[in-house]
Amino acid sequence: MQTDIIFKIAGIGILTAVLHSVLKSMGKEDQANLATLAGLALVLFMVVELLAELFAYVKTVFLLY
Amino acid sequence: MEIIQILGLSLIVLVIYFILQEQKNPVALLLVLAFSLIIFLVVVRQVALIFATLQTISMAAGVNSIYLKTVMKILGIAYLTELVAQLCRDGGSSALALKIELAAKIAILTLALPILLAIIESILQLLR
Repeated sequence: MQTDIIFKIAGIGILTAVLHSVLKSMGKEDQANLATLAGLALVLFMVVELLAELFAYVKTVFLLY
Repeated sequence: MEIIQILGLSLIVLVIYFILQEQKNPVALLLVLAFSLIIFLVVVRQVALIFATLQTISMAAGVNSIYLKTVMKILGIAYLTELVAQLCRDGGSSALALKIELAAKIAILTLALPILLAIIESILQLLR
């Protein structure tokens, strides 16, 4: 069971949330949104990779090819 | 025991999801998606074992393997669409979930057609 990817995603999520609120309090609203976007893109990369692995595995198990 | 790990980890993910949800962070939904993918990966391995035993039983019983293969395909489709549809509902758009389920039903129906024809033919032969 790959538990490390979950904690990576959780870390990035919390980091972007904190970064967003810090940047917003400093008045740099647009940079805050960009930071959240960057964190989101990074997490998307990981999740898509995991999705591809699952779909490949399900295809072989359920003969869905 | 995988199930104990899954239960413990899901509580942690729930707490983190709650934290991220508070600050309207889109990563929360991706976290839930990642965790459900991991659970599905673990479950798929066990389903593979179940299917192996089903296959041996059906070989012994002499059942035509086409039927078992279609059943497995239908199960696979239902299995994946359930994952995505529930996630769409969780993300807030139930309309999207319904569309996905409609597509899955149509796919399952097209898969089940040959079996339907086979049944009808065997019934007709009985009646003649």
